[in-house]
This record gives sequence, C-alpha cells and structure tokens, in this order.
Amino acid sequence: MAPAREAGLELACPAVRLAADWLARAEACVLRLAATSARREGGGSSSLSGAGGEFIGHRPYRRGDDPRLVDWSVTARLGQPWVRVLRREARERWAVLLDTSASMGVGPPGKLQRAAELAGTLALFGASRGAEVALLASDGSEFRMARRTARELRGLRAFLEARRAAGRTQALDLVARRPALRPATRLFLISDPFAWKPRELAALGARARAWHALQLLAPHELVPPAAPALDWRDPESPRALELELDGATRAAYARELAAELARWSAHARRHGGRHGVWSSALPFEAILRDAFGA
Amino acid sequence: MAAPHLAALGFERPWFALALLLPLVLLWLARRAARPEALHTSAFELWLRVRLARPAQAAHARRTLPLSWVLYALGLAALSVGLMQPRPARGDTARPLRVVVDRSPSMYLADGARTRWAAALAAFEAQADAWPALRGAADGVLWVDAGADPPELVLARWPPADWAAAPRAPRAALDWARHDAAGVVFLSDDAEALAAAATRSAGWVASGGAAVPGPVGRRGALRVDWDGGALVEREDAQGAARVSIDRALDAELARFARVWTAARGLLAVEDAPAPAACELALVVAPGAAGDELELGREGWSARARVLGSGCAAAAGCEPWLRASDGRVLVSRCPGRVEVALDGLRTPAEEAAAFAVSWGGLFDAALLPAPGVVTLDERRAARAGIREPLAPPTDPEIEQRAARWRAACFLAAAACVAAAFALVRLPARAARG
Repeated sequence: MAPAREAGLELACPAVRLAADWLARAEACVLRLAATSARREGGGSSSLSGAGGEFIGHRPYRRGDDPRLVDWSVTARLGQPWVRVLRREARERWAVLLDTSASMGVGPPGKLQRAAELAGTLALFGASRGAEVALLASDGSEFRMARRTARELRGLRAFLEARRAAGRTQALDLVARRPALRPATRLFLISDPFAWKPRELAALGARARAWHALQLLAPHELVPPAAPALDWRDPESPRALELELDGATRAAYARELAAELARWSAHARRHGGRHGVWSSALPFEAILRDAFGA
Repeated sequence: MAAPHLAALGFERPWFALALLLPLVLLWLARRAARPEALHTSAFELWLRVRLARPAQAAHARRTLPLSWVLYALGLAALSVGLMQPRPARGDTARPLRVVVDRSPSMYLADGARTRWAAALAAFEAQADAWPALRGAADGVLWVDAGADPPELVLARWPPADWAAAPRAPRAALDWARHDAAGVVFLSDDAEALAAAATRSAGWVASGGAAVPGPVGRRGALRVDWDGGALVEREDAQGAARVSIDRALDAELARFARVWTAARGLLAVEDAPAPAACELALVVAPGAAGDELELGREGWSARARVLGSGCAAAAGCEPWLRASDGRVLVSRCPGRVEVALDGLRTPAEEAAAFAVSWGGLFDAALLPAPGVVTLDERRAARAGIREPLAPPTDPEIEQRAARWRAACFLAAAACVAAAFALVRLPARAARG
C-alpha cells in the first residue's frame, strides 16, 4: 500500500476569482447558446433544446431571448419588445451542481475557478430561457435565480466567488439533502471525474429529462508533467505517493484514465445523460461550445 | 603504510568531530533536494492502481542522491577527519620521557652540601609529575648523557649512580638545539644558556647555583685559584700532574713526550704502577713489529713499523693516525694515547711540524687535574623551569600520523574536485 503521511501541501487553486469581464463574456456565451438552441429547436437535436410548447402568455423581452419569440404585434402596441412564453419553458427547473470538494482546488488553472465560470454561465442561460435555476454547491450552499435582475446577477457573482475548494465530496448526502433536485427537469453536474461515481449521478438525474456531466481535469491530471518523479498528494486525505514517471508508468496511467472516462461515457449513454471531460486550461466558452455546440 | 586499526586511532583535536555534522546536514539537504515535486491530483486512486500494477518499479521510485552531493559530503567528512588530526592512539605511540643531562664540571660544584646535579634532579622530580604534557609518556625515563662520546643512554627511573660524580674526561659544550623534540627535558644548571639555545619543544629544569670559588687551572706545581673576585696562584700539595710513558714506546716519541712534559710543567713517570691514575698515559699497542710503511699528517711524514694489527678499538677512543689500509696507528682517549708504531724516523726538516702535531695530540688527551674547573663554570648560574610542549612520541609514528592527515586532506580535495567536475562538465557539454 502507498505510504501514508501528512500532506502538508496547500491546494494550488482553492478560491474563485471571477474576472471583471466575466459577466459580459458569460452573457455573450448565453447568446450563442440561445442561438444554437433556437437553430436546433426545430430539429430537436440540441442538447439544450426542449420539444417546443403551448403558448401561455407574454413577458418583456430579456437580453439573450430568442428573437423569434418576440411577439411583434404586442411589441408594436406597447412600444417595447415582448416575447411569447411557452408552457415548456414555464415548467423548466434547472439544477446546476457545483462540486466544491478539495479535489476541485487542483491546478493551475484551478478546476473550481473554471467550474464556477461554467456554473454561472449555465445559470444565466437557464434563467434567460425562463427556467428556475438552482445552483447547488457540494458544500451545502445554494443560490436560486430566475429573472436575471441586477440583484440576482450580483448575488450570482457573490455566490460563486464565495466558494472554496475544501472537504470531501459527499454525493449521496447531497442527493438526500436536496429536495430541490427532485423536481429538476435538467441537471448539470460540474466536477472532476473521480469525485462521483456514474451511478450516483444517474440516480440523481433519474427524474430529470436530461442530465449533463461536465468534468474538469487539471492539465497535469490529463498528462503528467515531464518530471522524472513526482510526489502525488491526495487533496482530500493525507495520503501521498512518490512515483518514478518512466514511460511505462505514464502509459499505465493513460490507460487507467481512459478506462475511467470510458466507464463514464458508457454509463451516460445507458442512462440518457451526456458526459464530457475538459482541461481546466480551456476557457469556459470553449468548454460550453464543445459541450453544447454554442 | 599499514592500515590503521580503528581502535588504535586517536585524535589530536577531537572537538573537530563536530564538523562531521556538516556532511550529515549536507546529505539531509541533498535528500530534501532530491525529493520529487509534490502535486495534488484528484486522480490519486488511479496512481495507486498504477503503482500496485508496477510494484517493482515503485520500490525504487525515490531518493537517489546525486553523486556530486555524495562526493561533496565525503569530501567534507574527509576534511573533518583531517582537521581532527588522526594519529595512532597514545598507548601505541607513547615513549619514555627523554632527559638530556648536562654533565659539565659545573653540575658537580657543591653549593653547600648539595651539588647542582643533585639540585637539578630534585627539581626535576618535583616538577615532572605536574606537567600535563608529560602525562602521555610511558613509564620510565631515558637518561641521555649527550656530552659523552658516543652519547650514553640509560632507561631507568633514575640516572646511573656514577653519573652523580663528575666525569674524568672533559666534555664538549652541549648543543641543546640538536636534542630539541617533543617529550624532551634538559637537565642543566644554567637557565640562561638553555634559553639562549632557543629550543621550541623541549622543556628544561635548571638548578641554578651560587658562584663556587676554587681551582680554575694548574701550571706545573702551582694551582690557580679563583677566590670569587681574583685569580691567585698557590702551591699545589698534590704536586704536578703526571704523565705515564710506556717503557716500550718508540724512542723518538718517548723523547718528544719528555720534552713536551717538561714544557708543560708536568711530571714524566716511566711505567707508572697505575697509568690510569695519571693525567695522561702514553701506552704501546701489543704485538710484534711488522711491516714498515709511510705515514704522516699535519705537515710531517715518517716511516715506521706497525706493531701487531694496530690499536684496538675502544669505547670513547678515536683514531688519530691511520695507515692507508685502515689500520689505526695512533688512537686518543681522554687521559690516554695508544701508539702502534716502532722505529719512527722523521725527516729533520719536518721536526717542527711533528712537534706541533704530537703536542696538540697530548694536550687534547691530557685530563684536567682533579678539582680544577674553569672560571666560567664556577660562576653563578640562574635557575629556571620550562614545561615541554608535548609528550614524547615515536618519530616514525609521527610521520605515519602526518601521512594519515595528508591522506585525509587529499581525499577531501579529490572528492570536491570530482564533485565539481561532475557538476561542471555536463553543464559545459550542454553549452557546447
């Protein structure tokens, strides 16, 4: 067994610092997601598009709304843009699960940082589509938004920046403690591939119409650094393991990682979910574009 | 050089052993430096699986110290040991204390009831045990009468009893510096003379002593006395000093001896019943006259027949005239001249040179009259004591210890040079 000893090593990237232009970038990304969703809504192939819905009323236009939903008659009568509200959208309840365990503090670039940017953007996107979005962190905190008011946007930024990578992931506890998850029609999990087991997420998303697992890995978790040896530390326990990184060891790790990710993909396919793994070195826009075609 | 046995190893400066901590600290730092970079990973379980699948690889995955660091540490260790000054343990190297004694006539002058010799011995006995530098000395004392020819050495607790009496033969002045070494003590009466010798390692005990008036010379039947201020000639009750002339002595030589005796105011005695009791005895070597040969020195030459095989070798005697084949024809001891010549014929024109040469021989062999001590020796002497610097050691052992020290420093230099080369050469190759 590996020699266990006190880790004594600070997490590289335990905090979230959203850039000043993050909201603008997120809004731009939401527009691209909305456009993509609208383009595909007819074909029903977008991972974020619904199946259309019954008209139930109007509401003022919000930035990011699909222009095709603008009711031009009402807009002409009232002098400001109004859009049609469909029953599908009114029923949407999104849940975005943000893993804030210590393993998300691995980096750089920090996985929690990238995860927070992704979670915030998805929350904005859900709200722009009229969904009620619950942002649930694995540390037990949560944030809800539906209208994208300025207050909500400030609250969203504050919520995300208050997150710290710490503790162990308790996925099943989260399932039990969060009734808010039960009515969710769409579920997003943003974590690393090792914090959750595929069956845990499947159980969590069983009631949802769709679930997505956006998984992040630090660059050195995808490809070990070119050092002759490394002292690997478990961020969630005091365990440590020194290993020589020769070619055979690197190849063995690559095989193990590929097998782990393949298990996730297979499980996701089997249970109607979607799954993907990205490097935390990628900008959140690139990850969302890759995940949802935005 | 024999391999040193660790148990037989001692150190001159053992406190430098603290410096041995330096290589340990260096190795500890090297071990820390060799530790691989620590990185968190959420894939820790995957790495565990990788290691379990490759246990043999994992076993030697860490902490190989760079050779250069090991060499630096070895160099530091060798330097530290060198600074500790390794040497064979004291028990192996201890030698008896060496006491070089001054047996000049002044040592036997009595200042009251005790001679300076006795006073010096008593002072030495009182002092020697208190000298820390001598604690490593082996038991016993090697007493050295350096003035004797050849020097006399006696290993005993005390010097031989006969050394308590003044030697009959006059002594050459001691060259103290020749005997200067660790573990040596000089025993004399005059601290000023010892200090003037500027020795570095030897200690000394000088008895000192008040001036002792008395006879300082003799001329015929007269004795010259020093009364503490002036010299006074007095008639000597003992009469003139006696020269014993062997009846068998070559006639030419016997005639010259009588002339020389008369010139010196001495009394010539033929066939004295106890020649050794005379101030000078001219004796003939045993044996029949043999081959005739040519001989000479100091400007004179002669022909003579050799008696027997020449003069017998005797302790304290030195050859004065040799044949070309090495036989000793004339030898000289204090108070005695032995001649193995007969039928000596000297050219008349070389008579003066002959007389000066033989006269010098007789003068040198003539013993001083009993009780006669030179004026310089009779003057007051200053007492003094100086501790020797170190216990006596075997010079060969000292050389071996020096070689060990040199080997340590050499090893240190080699290790550092090798480590430096290990670090620099690859860097230079990389630049090239």
